[in-house]
Amino acid sequence: MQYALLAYEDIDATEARTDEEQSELLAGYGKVAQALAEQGKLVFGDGLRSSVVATTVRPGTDQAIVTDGPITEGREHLIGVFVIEATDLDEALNWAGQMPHAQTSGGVEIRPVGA
Amino acid sequence: MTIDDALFKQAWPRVYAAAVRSAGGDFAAGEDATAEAFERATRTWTHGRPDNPVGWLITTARRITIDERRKQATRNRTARRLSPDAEDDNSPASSITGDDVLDLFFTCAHPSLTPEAQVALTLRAVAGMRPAEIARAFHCSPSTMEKRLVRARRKIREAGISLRSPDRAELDDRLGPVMRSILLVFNEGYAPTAGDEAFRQELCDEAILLARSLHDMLPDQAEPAALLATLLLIDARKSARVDESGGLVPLRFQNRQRWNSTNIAEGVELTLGALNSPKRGDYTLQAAIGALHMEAPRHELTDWPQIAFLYEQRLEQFRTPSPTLVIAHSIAVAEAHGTCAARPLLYGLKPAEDVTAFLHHTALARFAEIDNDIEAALRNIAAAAAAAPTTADRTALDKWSTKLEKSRASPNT
Repeated sequence: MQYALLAYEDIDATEARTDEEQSELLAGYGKVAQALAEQGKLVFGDGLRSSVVATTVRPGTDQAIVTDGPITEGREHLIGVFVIEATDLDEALNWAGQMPHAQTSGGVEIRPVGA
Repeated sequence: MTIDDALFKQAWPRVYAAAVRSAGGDFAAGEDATAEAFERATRTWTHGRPDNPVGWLITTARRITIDERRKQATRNRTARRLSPDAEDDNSPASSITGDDVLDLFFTCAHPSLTPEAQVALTLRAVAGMRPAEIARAFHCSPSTMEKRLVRARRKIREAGISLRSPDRAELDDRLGPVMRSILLVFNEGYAPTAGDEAFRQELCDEAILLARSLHDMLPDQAEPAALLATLLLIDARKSARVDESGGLVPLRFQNRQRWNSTNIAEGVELTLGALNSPKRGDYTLQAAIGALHMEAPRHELTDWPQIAFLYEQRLEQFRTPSPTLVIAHSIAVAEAHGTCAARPLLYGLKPAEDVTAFLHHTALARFAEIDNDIEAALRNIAAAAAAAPTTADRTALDKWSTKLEKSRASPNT
């Protein structure tokens, strides 16, 4: 199966992060991504820019309406997306548990890919 | 009846696990096939049971799931081949060991499911209870319970939760939810959170059966042994715990002659075994507390200092211990070392919920009683009664206050 591992964190945490902390975070993800790639399980993985710079398109009467900001305004926002191959939820949980957002602050949501 | 209760209990989880497996891990399909196999057995076993009734049921349930998958595949016209799992599924029924049921236990109590769903699934899949029975046990409507089960089965299928037991390394973490589910079933039977019954024996029996099968499957693990011990030791008091009028009798007033000595002996033995384990888990500590209570020939001879010490060890295991645990510890300290040592332990409590308020006032009433402050004891008993979750609890409190009022009227008795 394929699973999407979606990393979330506080918007304040994203905005307050120093360059040094940013490279530390990326190094943490780099380790997990490398392990996944070595086992041939990494489909895609990268971080996202802050939802502060997000743009949303929604249906309008004549044409789609473009607005500034994310779909859901909340305290926490999506900050990274991984798609991995795993045999079952337990394996996906194991990979998710190694991600920095499952270890320090924030959280990782696991969603099976494919409708 | 061709299928009696004993055969049903023994066969249901085995058939269920085998059917789920041959349905490719789909709990809904597996459950339908299990129910259908039992129905076919009732219809066809009119001249007596086959030699291997469990094997018959498993083979039948598997055949049903395979037929169902073939029909699905034809219906979908996607020419999708059946997964190799289903086609290779000709292994003899005798290969089904107890481990299949263990897999079922762990999958039902998978940490990605809510605790409510874990309990409901365990009762449905492992204990074979009907959704309406489970709904009655947990005081919700049958449709709510049915929805909860449907949602849980959907999550297992769509999220890809495998029907399997955890590796050795994960065992400790994963045993927690399994044992908590069993304990929740027992607690709901022993101290219903609502309703007029003092206890519901069928739920206690169910929980003991579940704990026993978990222990049988993992005999070298201390915590499942301790869980079974705890349940047996508590259950041993049942006939002394309720009086003729249906009111609850507190531990210290119980007639110890009426305790079930067979249960106590087995519980104590299991506890001693669990205590030999190098790492003492919370269930082992609970069992040890239970054993100390049950081994005292009279209430006054209870080894309270040792019990208070074991409660302290239990408290150390939790970052934020439950109010119930804090209150139980304070009572043990009051009995062992007096109320001056016990009272400060309750200072941090916020009696927000009714059950906490009930236990809190019951503890304060006991403290006052130990200190011979009858007025304060009566006040707290009244406050506890106002928050008491069941009629049986209220009746017990009424009796206690009557007893205290009598002792006030004639202080030398």
